[in-house]
Amino acid sequence: MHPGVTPLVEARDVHVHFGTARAVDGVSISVMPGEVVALVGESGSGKTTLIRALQGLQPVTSGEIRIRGAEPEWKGRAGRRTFHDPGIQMVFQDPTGALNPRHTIYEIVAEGLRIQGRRDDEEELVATAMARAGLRPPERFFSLYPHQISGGQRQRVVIAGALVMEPSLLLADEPVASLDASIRGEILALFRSLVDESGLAVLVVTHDLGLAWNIADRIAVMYLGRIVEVGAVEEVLAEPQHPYTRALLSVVPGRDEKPQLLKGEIPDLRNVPSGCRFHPRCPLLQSGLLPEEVAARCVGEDPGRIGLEEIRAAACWAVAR
Amino acid sequence: MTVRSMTRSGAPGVSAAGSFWRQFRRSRQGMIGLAILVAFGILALVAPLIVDPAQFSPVVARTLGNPQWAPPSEFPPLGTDHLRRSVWAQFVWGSRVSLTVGLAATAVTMVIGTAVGVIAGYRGGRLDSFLMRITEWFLVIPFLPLAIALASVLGRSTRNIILVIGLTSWPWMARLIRSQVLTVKQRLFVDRARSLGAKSGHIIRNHILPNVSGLILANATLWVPISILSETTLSFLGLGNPGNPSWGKTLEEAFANGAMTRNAWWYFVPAGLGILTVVLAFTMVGRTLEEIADPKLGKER
Amino acid sequence: MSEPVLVLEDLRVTYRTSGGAVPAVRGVSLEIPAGGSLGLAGESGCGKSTIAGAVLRLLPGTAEVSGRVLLAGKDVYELKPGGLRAVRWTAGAIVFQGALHALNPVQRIGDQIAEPMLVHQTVSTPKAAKTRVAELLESVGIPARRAAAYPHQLSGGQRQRVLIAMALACDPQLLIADEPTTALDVMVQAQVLELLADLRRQRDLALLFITHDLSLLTTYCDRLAIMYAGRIVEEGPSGDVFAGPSHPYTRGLAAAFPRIGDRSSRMAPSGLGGDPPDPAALPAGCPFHPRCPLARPECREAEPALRISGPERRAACILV
Repeated sequence: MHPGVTPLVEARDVHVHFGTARAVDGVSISVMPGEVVALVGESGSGKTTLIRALQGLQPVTSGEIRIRGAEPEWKGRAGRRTFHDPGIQMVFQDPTGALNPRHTIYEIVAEGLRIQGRRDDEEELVATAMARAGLRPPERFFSLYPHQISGGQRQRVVIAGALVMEPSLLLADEPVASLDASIRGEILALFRSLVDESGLAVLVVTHDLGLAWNIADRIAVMYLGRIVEVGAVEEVLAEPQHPYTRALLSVVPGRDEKPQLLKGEIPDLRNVPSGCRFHPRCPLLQSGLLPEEVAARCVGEDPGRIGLEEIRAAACWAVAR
Repeated sequence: MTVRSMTRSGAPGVSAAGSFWRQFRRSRQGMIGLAILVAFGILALVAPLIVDPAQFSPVVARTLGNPQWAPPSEFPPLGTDHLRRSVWAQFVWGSRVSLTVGLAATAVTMVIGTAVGVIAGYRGGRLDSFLMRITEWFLVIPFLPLAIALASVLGRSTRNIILVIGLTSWPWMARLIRSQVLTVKQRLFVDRARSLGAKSGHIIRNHILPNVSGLILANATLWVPISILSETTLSFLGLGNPGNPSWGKTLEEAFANGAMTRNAWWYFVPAGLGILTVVLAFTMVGRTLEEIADPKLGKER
Repeated sequence: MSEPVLVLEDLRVTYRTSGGAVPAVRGVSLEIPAGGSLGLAGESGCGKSTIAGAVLRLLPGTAEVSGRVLLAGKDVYELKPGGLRAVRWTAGAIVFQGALHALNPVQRIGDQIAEPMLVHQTVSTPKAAKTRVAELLESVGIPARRAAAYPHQLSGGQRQRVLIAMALACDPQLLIADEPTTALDVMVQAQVLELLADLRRQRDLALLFITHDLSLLTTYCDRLAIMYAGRIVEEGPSGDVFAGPSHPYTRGLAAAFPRIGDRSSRMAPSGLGGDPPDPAALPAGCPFHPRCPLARPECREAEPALRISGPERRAACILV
């Protein structure tokens, strides 16, 4: 899709199954250098499992993962293979929980370096990473403990702990969901400026479409283990094609349109509906406006997976592809 | 550079220990217990300066010309026993033996219990099941028969008493620590370390152990009195080292030689009170440590 | 207009702690008319949840309360215990955040909903209570047969609905919702909030909605009050306040919720700098001045009072 550029990370038809639960059920996604991709979905959509797989912590059942165009260095036996790539770092939802209360901020930020056995220029690297994460002057925070700083600063410490490894990709799982609304903007602005200034890429998992609008270049919408719609943020959010994306967008507070409430909750991953997995809740199908042959396909035929090559797509029989 | 030396030299560690001490100092029960322990600790340390262990031989006691069954008024400070030995000397020496056995047996308990608990809790899976089955197997065997059997196989010595107590009491500790490790393992900072590429050793050393150490310390302190009482029990049953009089041993000999019927209270009361006081003091310190390690406990009490 | 269902007059709440007195609410006056709705927004630590507790006298013993709270015309702080119990549930009921902790895990949900009705004798027999529980469950969108379920057998959204059913058990005039949807997914959140809106219309229920999410309040409340450091700094009709904030704090808070499709917020997330103030050590003068982009020297001197900033609007800022 970006000819000549190697994606930082590329997942092709990745499956992660837990027994009969298909948490990730054939997902393809890529992140290019210098872009922010938002992976949007509700809890139970498999988005957290997917990014754990991209990070190498979650063994995949099948499918292919490539890091900067190459196979990662797999460890462990078949079926339980994991990998670690210092170029991919993680930012967590709950910064308070992600920081060991018994370690100082300095020790927390330096932890990655110490694990990698890099000790020579540790202090300089730690200070630089903290300054990049907006903790200035860094020295002021070195000997403090997590409980002595605010929630927003804790999230900056988590980010600094990732930046110290000089990653090319940050995976962020709901990075502002547990923060006060007023702090949210600052942390998001930090992500955007890291991307714009140093060519870092970010894959951010969120349920918040406003966050995608705020900082993301591309968006992928996930439902029940599959990506159901992808595209540039402006296009997807201005003209959503998949009925699920439309419904999600309609319930964003403060919008003028009437909220399109879906019935019930996201089904259990162990009981993925046949046909289109969204059909039991699909307002379009329920409206009865679909031509009969399309409606029949919705119930009986899987609309398939969205491939890596597709720039703008929706996995929906009612949408012409 | 100044910053590095500050962060590396353990300044934060000092401040953590400092805050721990500040909290401890606020507890009256903890401070009283600690004062008692310090006093007995000093007594046990200086025991060889006060008492020559040679006098525990009945032959030496006789050559010293001590009276038999003398009450404290006749042979200050604490009278003599049926073999003309000074009860005071036995009491002083006994504090040394009882504290040594209590601490050493607890150390054995802690090392085995922590190792098993951490490995089982952290690794989980089949290894966990395996270790827990062994632990349960040890748990369901009644303490006394096992301890008596072990002691008679290993022979009568202070070292063996320590081993017997350690080998029979680690399962409790293992289960306690395992459950705590299971909780800490779920914490997000363990996930973060893993995502930074940390191996199990790093995670256990830097994240698991520091977060269960408070519990380990508190329980160790609570375990010392139990070990001392176990030692007393085993010595009372005649499984102690005859040449190394502990408080338990003193009680056993007093009982066996009719101190009760002779009304020779000075023979058994000092040792009994010694055990009671030390056990109580360890419990007071242990409870205080437990409350600091787990603040929720303090509120519920 | 009829008598307001809730009136706060100069409400002050101070927590006694080992570190000294911490003022959480510092003089809040507000009014909710019967059937009306007010959204109370602010950051964590601004005192908004303390107000929820103060209205029903649910604060811990370390809280010192002064000022007046009139719930359905009765001064909550002058009531005897019996009268207080009657006012809780029947005049005002609260829906807590975190539905998992507010429900008893070992009691069937039907019994938990029936409990306040039997305590307050709004129904006479257990049989009547059962019928009423079935009605209530249906009204919050849960099949009546689920009354026999235990909390863990329900999803997060359903548990929140159960809490709403509980709050409605004694037909209160006012519902206090303290972050009722924080832990829920967007779609479930929308379902729960639409349910609340429907129930309000059917029952002419007044609502005090407390959250940090300003954008929710604009959709679901008539009026909005923004709290900062224990005081209301702006209030007015919700649409007007959100669209054209008078106070710089409201402006920062509103900007944190981008309007999807609005070009100005695309690739430009905004919010406030700095951190919420520590209630135990508030800055002198206007407590917002250290974070205020428009602060002037005189802002350090005196704390501004609320003044008229437009039709039915007030704001506490010297620039108004």
